[in-house]
Amino acid sequence: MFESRSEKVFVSGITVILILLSAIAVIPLLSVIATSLSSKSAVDMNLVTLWPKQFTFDSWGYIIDRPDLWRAFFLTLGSTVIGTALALLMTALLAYPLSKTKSEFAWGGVIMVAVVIAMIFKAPIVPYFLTVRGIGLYNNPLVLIIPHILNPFNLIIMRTFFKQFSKELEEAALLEGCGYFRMLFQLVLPLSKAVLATLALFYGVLLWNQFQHPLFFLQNPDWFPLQIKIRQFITDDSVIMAGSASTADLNYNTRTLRAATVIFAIVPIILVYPFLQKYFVKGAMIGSVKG
Amino acid sequence: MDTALVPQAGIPHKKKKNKYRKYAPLLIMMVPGLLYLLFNNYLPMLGIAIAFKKINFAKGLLESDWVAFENFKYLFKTSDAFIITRNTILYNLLFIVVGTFLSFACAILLNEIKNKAVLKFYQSIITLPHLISMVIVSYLVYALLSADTGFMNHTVLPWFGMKDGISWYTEEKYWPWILTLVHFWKSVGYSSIVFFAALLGIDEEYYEAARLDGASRLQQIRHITLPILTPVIIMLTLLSIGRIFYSDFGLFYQVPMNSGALFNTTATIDTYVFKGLMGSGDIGMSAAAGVYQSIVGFLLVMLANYIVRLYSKDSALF
Repeated sequence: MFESRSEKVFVSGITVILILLSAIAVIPLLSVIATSLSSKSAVDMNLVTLWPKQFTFDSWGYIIDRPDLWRAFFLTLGSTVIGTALALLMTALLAYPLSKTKSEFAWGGVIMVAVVIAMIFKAPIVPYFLTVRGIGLYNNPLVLIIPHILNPFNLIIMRTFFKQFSKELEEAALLEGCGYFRMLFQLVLPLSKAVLATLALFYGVLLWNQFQHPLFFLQNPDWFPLQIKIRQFITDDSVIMAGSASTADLNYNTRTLRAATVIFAIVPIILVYPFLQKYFVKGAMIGSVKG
Repeated sequence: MDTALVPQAGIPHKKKKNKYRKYAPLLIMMVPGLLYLLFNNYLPMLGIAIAFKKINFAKGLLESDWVAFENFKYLFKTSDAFIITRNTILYNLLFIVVGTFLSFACAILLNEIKNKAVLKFYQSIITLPHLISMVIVSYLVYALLSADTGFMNHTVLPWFGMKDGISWYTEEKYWPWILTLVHFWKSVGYSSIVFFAALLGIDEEYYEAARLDGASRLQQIRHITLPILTPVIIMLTLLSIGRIFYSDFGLFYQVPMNSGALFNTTATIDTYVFKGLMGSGDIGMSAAAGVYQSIVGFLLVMLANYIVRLYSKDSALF
């Protein structure tokens, strides 16, 4: 193995660029973390860039003590977990019959057309709003889950994945008297962990970060999910300072509190991210091969 | 074909009955999903009718008077229709052209990293912004640009001798740049993974043969990687052109902090429709704008898909 000098230059050039790109990706977050851990006066004097100055946990103490934030947090956590589980079930139940060949399930083709139309013709927002309200989801916390439990794109990804299962195995199971339901739940799904994890990631991120639907459909502050709550904290001084007694001798201000709130909302994602990261690559691979 | 039917071929008179018995569990399985699509995706399509009515909440929507194309006429008479269409299309074009280039370049860089652990590290870091919600992104931008406390005004601009600072949230001329940079910050890492996944599929033998012939790394990229990936790039581009009438609501609504002064350069069809719905605009016009978006968007997806099919049937969406 011989490496020429230009080869070495090339490789180190790539490393430099990638490190730069990584830095661009994380530096905004680092600066927010630093702000959340700094004192009010350090932040006011604009001393904080990437490292905390006059280190203090006061902003965090205040944020952690806000019951409304925790309420929004657990509401969002619950709707994300339940919504993701429900979404996987709904998607699998529809994707499995549609993955059958024409000879096995002749009506699959027609239904698939209906699914594709649902995917490409996006209903306009105003009629969509009126329909969801008509169904009774207006100001109803279920609106945090229901609109997100079946996504036609994800359906197609799962269908493509199911299609590659060996037909012989399923036929043998059928002849043994194994029904389609048992086949799906005991044979197909246990072998589909990769696609299930990928779609769980897609649905989960969507549910955790959802903002537009609750903004449209929820009026009651009790049911505000985390992102709406954070938005209030960021844009409204009176909401974020609501729990503090006097402003005189505090060691935090709206800026440090906002920084802490934002990190509060990112932490759960950072915690699960390392376990899910590889499914991003898998998802990109499955998603780029259309059936 | 029809291999699945072979076991039943011996008893033809029972075939039809068997077919229904056989389909029943599959049909039952699909009931929840199909009902869901009916309510969530098909029922709202009927509501398109309201764009042709003079919406009167006192009378109720069904009883509101029909006005044919009045709403559309008003919409296209204002300069709004032009501005939101222009913004939506231009931003999308910019995102597609520059975004494809950046993601592809980034994928090629990743592909040159042969150490698995190092590769995983870079991948994790650059896809991280994709997971961060727009609410939080809008805060990150605000921390950078806020007039009195923003990092740009109190630190960066003074380096260049600009003591006064810039009032970012009222100066519309900067926003095409800001929104584009924010979009790329959030999306390039993730979309480069899509290209990277395609790169992984290239047979290593091509590169070995090229190396034996003395090709440099750049020559290998130019003569092997690029030609093989061209179809993928074309396909992804065409598909995103099909979505050119839609914009990322979060990006255009939240990052400019809903500042009215920025309408000319930050309003898109989606934010316009939303403001109409929330009462800060004309609901009739916004309903019309929504229908206009759905129909043109639908035609564009069909067209893009048709072109993809001409090029390669397997890559088409349907």
